[in-house]
Amino acid sequence: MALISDAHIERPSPLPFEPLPPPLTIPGHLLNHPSWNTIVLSQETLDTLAGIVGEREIISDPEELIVYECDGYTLEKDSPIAVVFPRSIEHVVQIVRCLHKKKIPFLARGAGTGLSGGCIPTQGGVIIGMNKMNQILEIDYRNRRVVVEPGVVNLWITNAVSPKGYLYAPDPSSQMSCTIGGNVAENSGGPHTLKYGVTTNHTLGLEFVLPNGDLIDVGGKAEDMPGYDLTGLMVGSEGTFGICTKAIIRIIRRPQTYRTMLGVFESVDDATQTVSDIIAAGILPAALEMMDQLIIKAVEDAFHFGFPLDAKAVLIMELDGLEAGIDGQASRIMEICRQNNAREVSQAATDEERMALWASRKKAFGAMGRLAPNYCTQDGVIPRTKLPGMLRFISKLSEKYDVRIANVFHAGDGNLHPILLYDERDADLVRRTLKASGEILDECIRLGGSVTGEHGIGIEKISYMPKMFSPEDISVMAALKKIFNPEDLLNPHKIFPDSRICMEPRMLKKQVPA
Amino acid sequence: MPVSLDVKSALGDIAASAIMDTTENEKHAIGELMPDVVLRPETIEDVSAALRWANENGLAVVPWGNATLMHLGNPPERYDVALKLDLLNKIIDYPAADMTITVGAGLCLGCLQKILAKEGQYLPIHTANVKEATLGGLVATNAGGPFRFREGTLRDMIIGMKVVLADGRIIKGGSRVVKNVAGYDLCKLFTGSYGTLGVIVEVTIRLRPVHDEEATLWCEFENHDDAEGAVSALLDSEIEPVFMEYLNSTAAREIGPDVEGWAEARPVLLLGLDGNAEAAEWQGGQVGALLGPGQAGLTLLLEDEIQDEVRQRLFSFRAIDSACFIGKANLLSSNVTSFIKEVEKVAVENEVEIAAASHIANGIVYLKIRNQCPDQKVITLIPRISSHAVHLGGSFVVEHASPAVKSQVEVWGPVRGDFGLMKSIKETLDPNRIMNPGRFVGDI
Repeated sequence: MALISDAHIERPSPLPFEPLPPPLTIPGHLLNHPSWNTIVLSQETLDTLAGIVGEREIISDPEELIVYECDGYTLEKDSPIAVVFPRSIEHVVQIVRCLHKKKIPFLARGAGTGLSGGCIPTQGGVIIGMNKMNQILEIDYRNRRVVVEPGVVNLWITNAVSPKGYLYAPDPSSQMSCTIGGNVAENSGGPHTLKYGVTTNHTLGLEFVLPNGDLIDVGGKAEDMPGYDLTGLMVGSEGTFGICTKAIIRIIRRPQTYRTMLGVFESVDDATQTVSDIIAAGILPAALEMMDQLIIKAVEDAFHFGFPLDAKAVLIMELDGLEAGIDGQASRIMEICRQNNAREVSQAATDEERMALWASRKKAFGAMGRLAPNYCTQDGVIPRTKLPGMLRFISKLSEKYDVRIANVFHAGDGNLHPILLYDERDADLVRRTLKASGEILDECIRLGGSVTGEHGIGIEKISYMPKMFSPEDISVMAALKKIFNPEDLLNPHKIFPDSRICMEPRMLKKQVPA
Repeated sequence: MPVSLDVKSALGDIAASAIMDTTENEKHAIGELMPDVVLRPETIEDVSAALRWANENGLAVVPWGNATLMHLGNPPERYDVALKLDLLNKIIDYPAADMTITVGAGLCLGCLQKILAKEGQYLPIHTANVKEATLGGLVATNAGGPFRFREGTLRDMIIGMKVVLADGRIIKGGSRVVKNVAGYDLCKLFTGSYGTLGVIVEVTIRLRPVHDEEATLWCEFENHDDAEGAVSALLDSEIEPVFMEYLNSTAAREIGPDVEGWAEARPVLLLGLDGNAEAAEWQGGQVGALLGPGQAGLTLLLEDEIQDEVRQRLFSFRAIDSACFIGKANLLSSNVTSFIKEVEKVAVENEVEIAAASHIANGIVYLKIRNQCPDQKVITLIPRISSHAVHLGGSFVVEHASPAVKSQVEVWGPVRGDFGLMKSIKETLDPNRIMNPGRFVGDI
């Protein structure tokens, strides 16, 4: 499991999709915006914070703050006025109380691997870096529960429990660096969520600090705690309800065995039809991933895995479970591939082969830099049976706008990650790229899907919220936010259109790795 | 003024046809409470109009499917309108190859399963009275069943829903795709909210392919400690059962088949090994080897009608027919057997028989008293059982008991530190407290 990843964080200089803010000039009304960069941290507040965590756990030097201007979404940036690193729940409570009292906006940040701008300090508030609260507090194998602090890295959990034959199922692309606090905020997914579900299906309880400093426990180690499912509501709230200080999560038994197969296809149509047919045949694979020719070429150029360069698409298909009977299922999958004109279907014969296959998938994003100076990735979701038509739609868009689009995605979930290649120095291409990207998301909505399957709305997709949800839907979400976060001090200007302010566009500045 | 007198004019044409004869009011009683009017809307817009009207007039509404779980919770604090949703029972969209379905909340689980079976699919929810239990009610109470060990509860299967709020607003959560993180996860909030936040009118659910084979093992134990040892070993093994149900001897007698000389008075672990035939056989062998000769008294593979009969009784354990008390404890899995031991001690002291059936891997235990039992006795039992569950880090909910008992005990157990947030949510979505007032935790 550990090897499976999209490795979004390896991408060179992504330009995620959103209508561009007015390039390089700040509209006058924004300069006069009352809250625009007017927040300053007084020496007194700085001293209070230092008194809580110690001098060495605060960053306020502008040079050092550059790293915290954005996450994996680098189009929009803003610098925090300080970053504070608590080492205990008590620290978090005191920091939040202090900032709440001074009405200074703040947000929690894990590893900064998010892809929608969820931890960009839009008003230059204070970032609370949770990385130092990184202990696995308890592992209870009998009850399959693990209690962790929010700064624990996703993969650490599987690493900790794998000697006893267990694993933590959600495996997002960035699992080698992303933290559980961030996973909880974004309701993260990954390739193996096809069978095992996303973060919310594995989170049983949370402890979090509300924006006023109150410490709240929801859910628990036991399932079905009476009352509203606040744990379920918290997961995926993109850090706008509270700051997670502890999570109770579920681990699962590692499957007895795997069958990992590679199907090579002469057309994208055949590959997507195969995905639909596998799902429709009542087979539940552990993962079902697709890469098209552009991706194959880039991966091959970079890593020489041995993919046929003339293939139009490949599918990586994995079954897991009991040894008994699994080969029967594998045969059915390979048969479906052949029925859909697969040129070649092979099975990883050894664990090393399986790992190499997943490594190639994992490195796909890292290889994109070979194809174009810049690229951006979308995260739309459609019903799985609509994949063939959707891929044809994307291919037509690619012709219409003369933009190269590569596809590597969680096909089994219908979760697309089209990668649009461009060069930021070509203004017309940038414009065409954004148009194509927007049309892809509109089509996802039209097909009854979603504009985001795992990356979140953040800042990036705010303008799509009104397309997906009615004003009534949004009003209910906004009302819920008000309960948890009445003054909008915690992670302001995220998710909802009304709360958006434009930020300083700095796209031509040198990008700093988050 | 009796509500029914002005309801027709107030609602106008939109739902006039939905107003039921006053003789219906009696059929929609909850305990000793009767509504003033029963509305039976045909469309979501009708539901919206009815709620808007009720909200403007401060009338308390109880959403009503087919009442198979209407005994859950406190009796409503006020009760003016029964909103019967059985006509919202359409299949709205069933793209079978996507393994998702969108249906009206009034559709019954049995009807749904029949439709899904034609495509080789099913919803891994098992409950009593499948022919009556509606999806709306099951979602409102976050139903699950034995298969929750592998598949979770409805909370894990719902991917989208439409809800009508108290003020008539029609809102949606989620979408029709299996993966979606746009906006807050409203589906989670309404699933298991017991009709106190709005009326669920439509749900989209992800489905599972049916298993090739069903196989059930019946494993008897000498005592609870042996059983805990076995459960612990099985959970740590490579087998992948679809369910693991632990029954005390009283429950085992109820659920066991009607075969002469079958039931010894011993606790039983029921294992579902559904899957392909080869895997079921292999797992059966593993279970035998793991339990070893000394541990399990007896391990049997249930076949054909016996298997069907036992499963049916297992799924129906929570039905209230002929039960005078049903309660639910939620605990850590490892505490289930010791909890049941304590319950049996309390039962002996009070000279009652308590059946206990548990989703042991999930730590969920249902307790049932079948025979008539004086209220006073039940009232004495509950606090002892409840405090033990709380002591173990869980809680205890009184699901079914006489109105007299319910009025004397804490039905949902004590509220916790997060109750303030729950109350704020209720006040925000239903400020006039018209939706099932008083029924859920903390009389919310």
